[in-house]
Amino acid sequence: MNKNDYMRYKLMMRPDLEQTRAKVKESPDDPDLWYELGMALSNSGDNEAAVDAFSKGISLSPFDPYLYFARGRKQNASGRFWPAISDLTLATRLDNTLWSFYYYRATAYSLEGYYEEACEDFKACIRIADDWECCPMVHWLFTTYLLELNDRKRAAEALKLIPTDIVPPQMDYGYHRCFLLYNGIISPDEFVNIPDMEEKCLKQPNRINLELNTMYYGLFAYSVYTGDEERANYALSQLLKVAIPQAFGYKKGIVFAKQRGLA
Amino acid sequence: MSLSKNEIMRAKLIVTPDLGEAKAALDQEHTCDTWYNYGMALVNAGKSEEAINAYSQGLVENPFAPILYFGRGRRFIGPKLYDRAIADFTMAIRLDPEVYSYWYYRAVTNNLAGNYKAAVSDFRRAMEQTEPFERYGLIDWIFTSYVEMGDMEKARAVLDEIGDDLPEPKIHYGYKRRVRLYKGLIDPENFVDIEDIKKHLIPQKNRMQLEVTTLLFGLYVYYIYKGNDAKANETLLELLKDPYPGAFGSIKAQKAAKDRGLI
Repeated sequence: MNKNDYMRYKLMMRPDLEQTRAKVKESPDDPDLWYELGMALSNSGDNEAAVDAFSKGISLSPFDPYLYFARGRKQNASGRFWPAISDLTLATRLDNTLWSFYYYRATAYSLEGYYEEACEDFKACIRIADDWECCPMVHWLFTTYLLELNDRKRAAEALKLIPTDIVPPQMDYGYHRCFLLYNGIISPDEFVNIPDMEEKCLKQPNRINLELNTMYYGLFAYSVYTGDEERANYALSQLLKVAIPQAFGYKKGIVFAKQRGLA
Repeated sequence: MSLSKNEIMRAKLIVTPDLGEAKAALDQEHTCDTWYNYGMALVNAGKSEEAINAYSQGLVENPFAPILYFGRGRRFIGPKLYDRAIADFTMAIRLDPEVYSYWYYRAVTNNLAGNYKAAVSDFRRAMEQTEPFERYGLIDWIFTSYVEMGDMEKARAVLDEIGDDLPEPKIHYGYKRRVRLYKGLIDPENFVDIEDIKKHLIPQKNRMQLEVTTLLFGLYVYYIYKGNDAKANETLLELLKDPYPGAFGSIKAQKAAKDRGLI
Protein backbone atom coordinates (compact mmCIF):
# COMPACT_ATOMS: atom_id res chain seq x y z
CA MET A 1 0.00 0.00 0.00
CA ASN A 2 1.48 3.40 -0.90
CA LYS A 3 1.50 6.24 1.57
CA ASN A 4 -1.65 7.98 0.35
CA ASP A 5 -3.59 4.73 0.11
CA TYR A 6 -2.52 3.97 3.67
CA MET A 7 -3.68 7.43 4.69
CA ARG A 8 -7.08 6.84 3.13
CA TYR A 9 -7.28 3.45 4.86
CA LYS A 10 -6.55 5.10 8.22
CA LEU A 11 -9.09 7.86 7.52
CA MET A 12 -11.91 5.61 6.39
CA MET A 13 -11.58 2.67 8.79
CA ARG A 14 -14.71 1.67 10.64
CA PRO A 15 -13.64 -0.92 13.19
CA ASP A 16 -16.20 -2.67 15.36
CA LEU A 17 -16.27 -1.00 18.77
CA GLU A 18 -16.65 -4.03 21.01
CA GLN A 19 -14.12 -6.08 19.08
CA THR A 20 -11.62 -3.25 19.25
CA ARG A 21 -12.18 -2.79 22.98
CA ALA A 22 -11.41 -6.48 23.45
CA LYS A 23 -8.23 -6.20 21.38
CA VAL A 24 -7.07 -3.18 23.38
CA LYS A 25 -7.74 -4.99 26.67
CA GLU A 26 -5.54 -7.82 25.49
CA SER A 27 -2.77 -5.57 24.13
CA PRO A 28 -2.99 -2.26 26.02
CA ASP A 29 0.50 -1.19 24.96
CA ASP A 30 -0.23 -1.21 21.23
CA PRO A 31 -0.69 2.40 20.02
CA ASP A 32 -2.22 1.25 16.72
CA LEU A 33 -5.02 -0.42 18.64
CA TRP A 34 -5.69 2.78 20.56
CA TYR A 35 -5.94 4.53 17.18
CA GLU A 36 -8.47 1.93 16.06
CA LEU A 37 -10.42 2.31 19.28
CA GLY A 38 -10.44 6.07 18.81
CA MET A 39 -11.82 5.62 15.30
CA ALA A 40 -14.47 3.20 16.53
CA LEU A 41 -15.50 5.61 19.29
CA SER A 42 -15.53 8.48 16.84
CA ASN A 43 -17.74 6.55 14.45
CA SER A 44 -20.10 5.78 17.32
CA GLY A 45 -20.39 9.52 18.02
CA ASP A 46 -18.36 9.62 21.25
CA ASN A 47 -15.84 12.32 20.42
CA GLU A 48 -14.59 12.81 23.99
CA ALA A 49 -13.84 9.12 24.48
CA ALA A 50 -12.15 9.15 21.05
CA VAL A 51 -9.88 12.03 22.15
CA ASP A 52 -8.99 10.06 25.28
CA ALA A 53 -8.23 6.93 23.25
CA PHE A 54 -6.00 8.82 20.83
CA SER A 55 -4.30 10.41 23.85
CA LYS A 56 -3.55 6.95 25.25
CA GLY A 57 -2.01 6.07 21.90
CA ILE A 58 0.07 9.25 21.99
CA SER A 59 1.42 8.33 25.44
CA LEU A 60 2.68 5.08 23.95
CA SER A 61 3.92 6.60 20.68
CA PRO A 62 4.35 10.37 21.07
CA PHE A 63 5.74 10.93 17.58
CA ASP A 64 3.04 9.12 15.61
CA PRO A 65 1.52 11.77 13.31
CA TYR A 66 -1.67 9.79 12.70
CA LEU A 67 -2.60 9.91 16.38
CA TYR A 68 -2.28 13.70 16.47
CA PHE A 69 -4.12 13.98 13.18
CA ALA A 70 -7.00 11.84 14.40
CA ARG A 71 -7.16 13.60 17.75
CA GLY A 72 -7.01 16.99 16.05
CA ARG A 73 -10.03 16.13 13.92
CA LYS A 74 -12.01 15.17 17.00
CA GLN A 75 -10.87 18.24 18.94
CA ASN A 76 -12.15 20.31 16.02
CA ALA A 77 -15.45 18.45 15.94
CA SER A 78 -15.81 19.21 19.65
CA GLY A 79 -15.27 22.93 19.07
CA ARG A 80 -11.78 23.08 20.60
CA PHE A 81 -10.12 25.06 17.85
CA TRP A 82 -6.62 25.79 19.17
CA PRO A 83 -6.06 22.29 20.59
CA ALA A 84 -7.18 21.00 17.18
CA ILE A 85 -4.82 23.27 15.29
CA SER A 86 -1.91 22.39 17.57
CA ASP A 87 -2.52 18.66 17.03
CA LEU A 88 -2.87 19.05 13.27
CA THR A 89 0.22 21.27 13.14
CA LEU A 90 2.28 18.68 14.97
CA ALA A 91 1.02 16.03 12.54
CA THR A 92 2.29 18.12 9.62
CA ARG A 93 5.62 18.63 11.35
CA LEU A 94 6.04 14.93 12.04
CA ASP A 95 5.13 14.04 8.48
CA ASN A 96 4.93 16.82 5.89
CA THR A 97 4.28 14.44 2.99
CA LEU A 98 0.63 13.66 3.76
CA TRP A 99 -1.72 16.20 2.28
CA SER A 100 -4.68 15.11 4.40
CA PHE A 101 -3.00 16.62 7.46
CA TYR A 102 -2.85 20.03 5.78
CA TYR A 103 -6.36 19.63 4.38
CA TYR A 104 -7.97 19.09 7.76
CA ARG A 105 -6.00 21.93 9.29
CA ALA A 106 -7.15 24.11 6.39
CA THR A 107 -10.80 23.28 7.00
CA ALA A 108 -10.39 23.96 10.72
CA TYR A 109 -8.77 27.32 9.99
CA SER A 110 -11.47 28.15 7.48
CA LEU A 111 -14.36 27.43 9.81
CA GLU A 112 -12.82 29.69 12.43
CA GLY A 113 -12.28 32.57 9.98
CA TYR A 114 -8.54 32.21 9.41
CA TYR A 115 -8.95 32.35 5.63
CA GLU A 116 -5.42 33.21 4.54
CA GLU A 117 -4.01 30.41 6.71
CA ALA A 118 -6.60 28.04 5.28
CA CYS A 119 -5.64 28.93 1.71
CA GLU A 120 -1.94 28.47 2.42
CA ASP A 121 -2.73 24.99 3.70
CA PHE A 122 -4.91 24.14 0.69
CA LYS A 123 -2.02 25.22 -1.54
CA ALA A 124 0.34 23.05 0.50
CA CYS A 125 -2.01 20.13 -0.19
CA ILE A 126 -1.81 20.79 -3.91
CA ARG A 127 2.00 20.87 -3.79
CA ILE A 128 2.06 17.46 -2.09
CA ALA A 129 -0.85 15.63 -3.71
CA ASP A 130 -1.21 14.33 -7.23
CA ASP A 131 -3.37 16.45 -9.54
CA TRP A 132 -6.22 13.92 -9.63
CA GLU A 133 -6.59 14.28 -5.84
CA CYS A 134 -6.84 18.07 -5.87
CA CYS A 135 -10.44 18.92 -6.81
CA PRO A 136 -11.41 19.56 -3.16
CA MET A 137 -8.48 21.89 -2.62
CA VAL A 138 -9.15 23.89 -5.80
CA HIS A 139 -12.84 24.13 -4.87
CA TRP A 140 -12.03 25.49 -1.41
CA LEU A 141 -9.39 27.88 -2.71
CA PHE A 142 -11.82 29.23 -5.31
CA THR A 143 -14.70 29.65 -2.88
CA THR A 144 -12.58 31.07 -0.06
CA TYR A 145 -10.80 33.62 -2.23
CA LEU A 146 -14.06 34.64 -3.89
CA LEU A 147 -16.58 34.63 -1.07
CA GLU A 148 -14.57 35.21 2.08
CA LEU A 149 -11.53 37.17 0.92
CA ASN A 150 -13.33 39.02 -1.94
CA ASP A 151 -10.40 38.31 -4.23
CA ARG A 152 -11.65 37.40 -7.69
CA LYS A 153 -8.13 37.43 -9.12
CA ARG A 154 -6.80 34.76 -6.78
CA ALA A 155 -10.06 32.82 -7.15
CA ALA A 156 -9.54 32.67 -10.91
CA GLU A 157 -5.88 31.75 -10.52
CA ALA A 158 -6.81 28.83 -8.29
CA LEU A 159 -8.71 27.21 -11.13
CA LYS A 160 -5.47 26.93 -13.12
CA LEU A 161 -3.58 24.98 -10.48
CA ILE A 162 -4.56 21.61 -11.92
CA PRO A 163 -5.41 20.45 -15.45
CA THR A 164 -9.08 20.12 -16.40
CA ASP A 165 -8.79 16.57 -17.75
CA ILE A 166 -7.99 14.85 -14.45
CA VAL A 167 -9.86 11.72 -13.40
CA PRO A 168 -10.76 12.10 -9.72
CA PRO A 169 -11.44 9.36 -7.16
CA GLN A 170 -15.04 8.35 -6.65
CA MET A 171 -15.20 10.09 -3.26
CA ASP A 172 -14.54 13.46 -4.92
CA TYR A 173 -17.55 13.36 -7.25
CA GLY A 174 -19.08 16.60 -5.94
CA TYR A 175 -15.81 18.50 -5.84
CA HIS A 176 -15.05 17.45 -9.40
CA ARG A 177 -18.48 18.62 -10.62
CA CYS A 178 -17.74 22.00 -8.99
CA PHE A 179 -14.34 22.13 -10.66
CA LEU A 180 -15.89 21.44 -14.07
CA LEU A 181 -18.55 24.11 -13.44
CA TYR A 182 -16.04 26.77 -12.43
CA ASN A 183 -14.00 26.04 -15.56
CA GLY A 184 -17.05 26.34 -17.82
CA ILE A 185 -16.88 22.69 -18.90
CA ILE A 186 -20.41 21.98 -17.66
CA SER A 187 -23.24 24.48 -17.41
CA PRO A 188 -25.20 25.35 -14.26
CA ASP A 189 -28.26 23.70 -15.80
CA GLU A 190 -26.54 20.33 -16.17
CA PHE A 191 -24.59 20.66 -12.91
CA VAL A 192 -26.88 18.58 -10.67
CA ASN A 193 -27.70 15.27 -12.39
CA ILE A 194 -29.23 12.83 -9.92
CA PRO A 195 -29.14 9.72 -12.17
CA ASP A 196 -25.47 10.44 -12.84
CA MET A 197 -24.89 10.77 -9.11
CA GLU A 198 -26.72 7.53 -8.36
CA GLU A 199 -24.44 5.79 -10.82
CA LYS A 200 -21.13 7.37 -9.93
CA CYS A 201 -21.13 8.42 -6.28
CA LEU A 202 -19.78 6.22 -3.50
CA LYS A 203 -22.41 3.71 -2.42
CA GLN A 204 -22.80 4.88 1.17
CA PRO A 205 -25.87 5.86 3.13
CA ASN A 206 -26.84 9.49 2.46
CA ARG A 207 -23.85 9.97 0.14
CA ILE A 208 -25.80 11.80 -2.54
CA ASN A 209 -27.02 14.38 -0.06
CA LEU A 210 -23.48 14.81 1.23
CA GLU A 211 -22.26 15.48 -2.30
CA LEU A 212 -25.13 17.89 -2.83
CA ASN A 213 -24.06 19.84 0.24
CA THR A 214 -20.75 20.41 -1.51
CA MET A 215 -22.29 21.02 -4.91
CA TYR A 216 -24.93 23.54 -3.93
CA TYR A 217 -22.32 25.55 -2.08
CA GLY A 218 -20.22 25.39 -5.24
CA LEU A 219 -23.18 26.48 -7.36
CA PHE A 220 -23.69 29.40 -5.00
CA ALA A 221 -20.03 30.42 -5.40
CA TYR A 222 -20.17 30.09 -9.19
CA SER A 223 -23.34 32.17 -9.32
CA VAL A 224 -21.74 34.94 -7.27
CA TYR A 225 -18.71 34.76 -9.57
CA THR A 226 -20.89 35.19 -12.67
CA GLY A 227 -23.16 37.79 -11.07
CA ASP A 228 -26.30 35.62 -11.17
CA GLU A 229 -27.96 36.60 -7.89
CA GLU A 230 -31.15 34.71 -8.57
CA ARG A 231 -29.28 31.45 -9.07
CA ALA A 232 -27.08 32.21 -6.05
CA ASN A 233 -30.14 32.38 -3.80
CA TYR A 234 -31.60 29.29 -5.47
CA ALA A 235 -28.40 27.36 -4.74
CA LEU A 236 -28.49 28.30 -1.07
CA SER A 237 -32.17 27.42 -0.80
CA GLN A 238 -31.44 24.00 -2.29
CA LEU A 239 -28.53 23.56 0.12
CA LEU A 240 -30.87 24.14 3.04
CA LYS A 241 -33.18 21.40 1.75
CA VAL A 242 -30.41 18.76 1.71
CA ALA A 243 -28.64 20.09 4.80
CA ILE A 244 -26.20 17.81 6.56
CA PRO A 245 -25.12 19.97 9.52
CA GLN A 246 -21.64 18.52 9.84
CA ALA A 247 -20.90 18.87 6.10
CA PHE A 248 -18.29 21.51 5.35
CA GLY A 249 -20.35 22.89 2.47
CA TYR A 250 -23.38 23.31 4.70
CA LYS A 251 -21.38 24.99 7.47
CA LYS A 252 -20.08 27.48 4.95
CA GLY A 253 -23.32 27.95 3.08
CA ILE A 254 -25.53 28.54 6.10
CA VAL A 255 -23.54 31.68 6.93
CA PHE A 256 -24.35 33.20 3.56
CA ALA A 257 -27.93 31.94 3.66
CA LYS A 258 -28.44 33.80 6.93
CA GLN A 259 -26.76 36.92 5.56
CA ARG A 260 -29.23 36.86 2.65
CA GLY A 261 -32.23 36.26 4.87
CA LEU A 262 -32.81 32.77 3.46
CA ALA A 263 -32.38 30.98 6.79
CA MET B 1 24.99 32.56 40.66
CA SER B 2 23.29 30.65 37.90
CA LEU B 3 20.18 28.69 38.79
CA SER B 4 19.99 24.95 38.33
CA LYS B 5 17.49 23.56 35.83
CA ASN B 6 15.28 22.39 38.71
CA GLU B 7 15.35 25.79 40.40
CA ILE B 8 14.32 27.43 37.15
CA MET B 9 11.50 24.91 36.81
CA ARG B 10 10.33 25.42 40.42
CA ALA B 11 10.16 29.14 39.74
CA LYS B 12 8.09 28.53 36.62
CA LEU B 13 5.67 26.38 38.62
CA ILE B 14 4.68 29.17 40.99
CA VAL B 15 4.79 32.27 38.78
CA THR B 16 1.76 34.50 39.23
CA PRO B 17 2.02 36.96 36.38
CA ASP B 18 -0.47 39.79 36.06
CA LEU B 19 -2.86 39.00 33.22
CA GLY B 20 -2.62 42.40 31.58
CA GLU B 21 1.16 42.43 31.78
CA ALA B 22 1.42 38.89 30.45
CA LYS B 23 -0.86 39.74 27.52
CA ALA B 24 1.16 42.87 26.76
CA ALA B 25 4.39 40.88 26.80
CA LEU B 26 2.84 38.33 24.46
CA ASP B 27 1.57 41.02 22.12
CA GLN B 28 5.05 42.43 21.95
CA GLU B 29 6.74 39.13 21.20
CA HIS B 30 5.60 35.55 20.71
CA THR B 31 8.04 33.21 22.44
CA CYS B 32 7.62 30.00 24.39
CA ASP B 33 8.09 31.99 27.59
CA THR B 34 5.54 34.68 26.78
CA TRP B 35 2.98 32.02 25.82
CA TYR B 36 3.75 30.05 28.98
CA ASN B 37 3.45 33.13 31.20
CA TYR B 38 0.23 34.15 29.52
CA GLY B 39 -1.14 30.68 30.15
CA MET B 40 -0.10 30.87 33.82
CA ALA B 41 -1.72 34.30 34.14
CA LEU B 42 -4.96 32.87 32.76
CA VAL B 43 -4.73 29.99 35.21
CA ASN B 44 -4.27 32.38 38.11
CA ALA B 45 -7.27 34.34 36.88
CA GLY B 46 -9.34 31.15 37.03
CA LYS B 47 -9.53 30.78 33.25
CA SER B 48 -8.33 27.23 32.75
CA GLU B 49 -9.95 26.63 29.34
CA GLU B 50 -8.44 29.81 28.00
CA ALA B 51 -5.11 28.72 29.37
CA ILE B 52 -5.40 25.47 27.40
CA ASN B 53 -6.10 27.54 24.30
CA ALA B 54 -3.12 29.77 25.00
CA TYR B 55 -0.74 26.84 25.46
CA SER B 56 -2.18 25.23 22.31
CA GLN B 57 -1.75 28.42 20.33
CA GLY B 58 1.82 28.61 21.59
CA LEU B 59 2.31 25.04 20.41
CA VAL B 60 1.11 25.92 16.91
CA GLU B 61 4.07 28.30 16.73
CA ASN B 62 6.41 26.03 18.70
CA PRO B 63 5.29 22.42 18.22
CA PHE B 64 8.36 21.06 20.02
CA ALA B 65 8.31 23.25 23.13
CA PRO B 66 8.21 20.94 26.16
CA ILE B 67 7.25 23.71 28.61
CA LEU B 68 4.03 24.35 26.70
CA TYR B 69 3.03 20.66 26.69
CA PHE B 70 3.81 20.66 30.39
CA GLY B 71 1.73 23.77 31.07
CA ARG B 72 -1.20 22.38 29.11
CA GLY B 73 -0.94 18.94 30.64
CA ARG B 74 -1.34 20.40 34.12
CA ARG B 75 -4.68 21.92 33.06
CA PHE B 76 -6.12 18.49 32.39
CA ILE B 77 -5.54 17.17 35.89
CA GLY B 78 -8.28 19.13 37.69
CA PRO B 79 -11.04 17.97 35.32
CA LYS B 80 -9.63 14.40 35.62
CA LEU B 81 -8.73 14.19 31.91
CA TYR B 82 -5.79 12.03 32.89
CA ASP B 83 -5.15 10.46 29.48
CA ARG B 84 -4.77 13.90 27.91
CA ALA B 85 -2.53 15.06 30.72
CA ILE B 86 -0.31 11.99 30.48
CA ALA B 87 -0.04 12.41 26.70
CA ASP B 88 1.18 16.00 27.12
CA PHE B 89 3.62 15.12 29.93
CA THR B 90 4.93 12.24 27.83
CA MET B 91 5.70 14.60 24.99
CA ALA B 92 7.38 17.05 27.37
CA ILE B 93 9.53 14.20 28.71
CA ARG B 94 10.46 12.98 25.25
CA LEU B 95 11.48 16.49 24.23
CA ASP B 96 13.45 17.15 27.42
CA PRO B 97 13.92 14.11 29.65
CA GLU B 98 16.12 16.02 32.10
CA VAL B 99 13.45 18.11 33.78
CA TYR B 100 12.22 16.37 36.86
CA SER B 101 8.93 18.28 37.00
CA TYR B 102 7.83 16.64 33.75
CA TRP B 103 8.45 13.18 35.25
CA TYR B 104 6.94 14.27 38.54
CA TYR B 105 3.67 15.50 37.08
CA ARG B 106 3.30 12.46 34.87
CA ALA B 107 3.97 10.32 37.92
CA VAL B 108 1.35 12.14 39.97
CA THR B 109 -1.17 11.88 37.15
CA ASN B 110 -0.48 8.17 36.83
CA ASN B 111 -1.12 7.86 40.55
CA LEU B 112 -4.37 9.82 40.29
CA ALA B 113 -5.43 7.55 37.43
CA GLY B 114 -4.71 4.48 39.58
CA ASN B 115 -1.65 3.45 37.55
CA TYR B 116 0.44 3.00 40.70
CA LYS B 117 3.26 0.94 39.23
CA ALA B 118 3.74 3.41 36.38
CA ALA B 119 3.62 6.21 38.95
CA VAL B 120 6.39 4.66 41.05
CA SER B 121 8.48 4.11 37.94
CA ASP B 122 8.08 7.77 36.96
CA PHE B 123 8.83 9.02 40.47
CA ARG B 124 12.03 6.99 40.43
CA ARG B 125 13.00 8.55 37.08
CA ALA B 126 12.27 11.97 38.55
CA MET B 127 14.64 11.15 41.40
CA GLU B 128 17.46 10.79 38.91
CA GLN B 129 17.11 14.49 38.10
CA THR B 130 17.28 15.65 41.72
CA GLU B 131 19.65 16.19 44.58
CA PRO B 132 18.74 14.39 47.85
CA PHE B 133 17.32 17.54 49.49
CA GLU B 134 14.83 17.88 46.62
CA ARG B 135 13.34 14.41 47.07
CA TYR B 136 10.82 14.71 49.91
CA GLY B 137 7.93 15.06 47.47
CA LEU B 138 9.06 12.06 45.47
CA ILE B 139 9.59 9.88 48.52
CA ASP B 140 6.17 10.92 49.81
CA TRP B 141 4.44 9.99 46.60
CA ILE B 142 6.22 6.65 46.27
CA PHE B 143 5.32 5.92 49.89
CA THR B 144 1.71 6.90 49.22
CA SER B 145 1.56 4.80 46.05
CA TYR B 146 2.78 1.71 47.94
CA VAL B 147 0.29 2.35 50.73
CA GLU B 148 -2.45 2.58 48.12
CA MET B 149 -1.25 -0.69 46.60
CA GLY B 150 -1.42 -2.19 50.10
CA ASP B 151 2.32 -2.89 50.15
CA MET B 152 3.25 -1.50 53.56
CA GLU B 153 6.63 -3.22 53.53
CA LYS B 154 7.79 -1.39 50.42
CA ALA B 155 6.20 1.80 51.74
CA ARG B 156 8.24 1.56 54.94
CA ALA B 157 11.43 0.73 53.04
CA VAL B 158 11.26 3.82 50.83
CA LEU B 159 11.42 6.08 53.90
CA ASP B 160 15.02 4.95 54.42
CA GLU B 161 15.98 6.53 51.11
CA ILE B 162 15.98 10.07 52.49
CA GLY B 163 17.44 11.78 55.52
CA ASP B 164 15.35 13.03 58.44
CA ASP B 165 15.97 16.74 58.10
CA LEU B 166 17.52 17.90 54.86
CA PRO B 167 17.07 21.60 53.94
CA GLU B 168 14.23 21.24 51.50
CA PRO B 169 13.13 23.86 48.94
CA LYS B 170 10.29 25.96 50.41
CA ILE B 171 7.85 24.60 47.88
CA HIS B 172 8.34 21.13 49.42
CA TYR B 173 7.49 22.14 53.01
CA GLY B 174 4.35 20.01 53.13
CA TYR B 175 5.98 16.93 51.63
CA LYS B 176 8.94 17.04 54.00
CA ARG B 177 6.60 17.35 56.97
CA ARG B 178 4.58 14.37 55.69
CA VAL B 179 7.69 12.21 55.28
CA ARG B 180 8.81 13.08 58.81
CA LEU B 181 5.34 12.08 60.03
CA TYR B 182 5.58 8.72 58.24
CA LYS B 183 9.04 8.22 59.77
CA GLY B 184 7.53 8.74 63.23
CA LEU B 185 9.42 11.98 63.84
CA ILE B 186 6.27 14.10 64.30
CA ASP B 187 3.30 13.39 66.51
CA PRO B 188 0.12 13.17 64.36
CA GLU B 189 -1.79 15.22 66.93
CA ASN B 190 0.57 18.18 66.32
CA PHE B 191 1.04 17.58 62.65
CA VAL B 192 -0.99 20.42 61.14
CA ASP B 193 0.73 23.32 62.92
CA ILE B 194 -0.50 26.64 61.54
CA GLU B 195 2.29 28.67 63.15
CA ASP B 196 4.89 26.38 61.69
CA ILE B 197 3.27 26.64 58.27
CA LYS B 198 3.35 30.43 58.47
CA LYS B 199 7.12 30.37 59.05
CA HIS B 200 7.61 28.47 55.80
CA LEU B 201 4.90 29.97 53.63
CA ILE B 202 5.64 30.89 50.02
CA PRO B 203 4.14 34.26 49.08
CA GLN B 204 1.49 32.83 46.79
CA LYS B 205 -2.24 33.37 46.74
CA ASN B 206 -4.06 30.88 49.03
CA ARG B 207 -0.84 29.06 49.84
CA MET B 208 -1.94 28.41 53.45
CA GLN B 209 -5.02 26.59 52.23
CA LEU B 210 -2.88 24.52 49.87
CA GLU B 211 -0.41 23.59 52.59
CA VAL B 212 -3.19 22.56 55.00
CA THR B 213 -4.81 20.44 52.30
CA THR B 214 -1.49 18.77 51.52
CA LEU B 215 -0.78 18.06 55.17
CA LEU B 216 -4.23 16.68 55.89
CA PHE B 217 -3.97 14.27 53.00
CA GLY B 218 -0.60 13.13 54.29
CA LEU B 219 -2.17 12.60 57.69
CA TYR B 220 -4.87 10.47 56.05
CA VAL B 221 -2.18 8.36 54.34
CA TYR B 222 -0.38 7.99 57.69
CA TYR B 223 -3.49 6.63 59.36
CA ILE B 224 -4.05 4.15 56.50
CA TYR B 225 -0.41 3.07 56.85
CA LYS B 226 -0.99 2.54 60.56
CA GLY B 227 -4.24 0.70 59.98
CA ASN B 228 -6.37 3.29 61.78
CA ASP B 229 -9.43 3.54 59.56
CA ALA B 230 -11.48 5.64 61.96
CA LYS B 231 -8.86 8.39 62.16
CA ALA B 232 -8.28 8.11 58.41
CA ASN B 233 -11.96 8.80 57.73
CA GLU B 234 -12.03 11.63 60.26
CA THR B 235 -9.05 13.27 58.57
CA LEU B 236 -10.58 12.97 55.11
CA LEU B 237 -13.73 14.68 56.24
CA GLU B 238 -11.69 17.42 57.91
CA LEU B 239 -9.81 18.01 54.66
CA LEU B 240 -12.98 18.16 52.63
CA LYS B 241 -14.37 20.99 54.76
CA ASP B 242 -12.04 23.44 52.99
CA PRO B 243 -10.05 21.72 50.27
CA TYR B 244 -7.76 23.76 48.04
CA PRO B 245 -9.40 23.53 44.62
CA GLY B 246 -7.40 21.43 42.20
CA ALA B 247 -4.74 20.39 44.73
CA PHE B 248 -3.58 16.80 44.37
CA GLY B 249 -4.57 16.20 47.98
CA SER B 250 -8.08 17.50 47.29
CA ILE B 251 -8.50 15.36 44.20
CA LYS B 252 -7.30 12.25 45.99
CA ALA B 253 -9.31 13.01 49.10
CA GLN B 254 -12.50 13.36 47.07
CA LYS B 255 -11.95 10.00 45.46
CA ALA B 256 -10.93 8.30 48.70
CA ALA B 257 -13.96 9.66 50.52
CA LYS B 258 -16.29 8.42 47.76
CA ASP B 259 -14.60 5.01 47.69
CA ARG B 260 -15.06 4.79 51.47
CA GLY B 261 -18.69 5.79 51.25
CA LEU B 262 -18.12 8.91 53.31
CA ILE B 263 -19.67 11.24 50.74
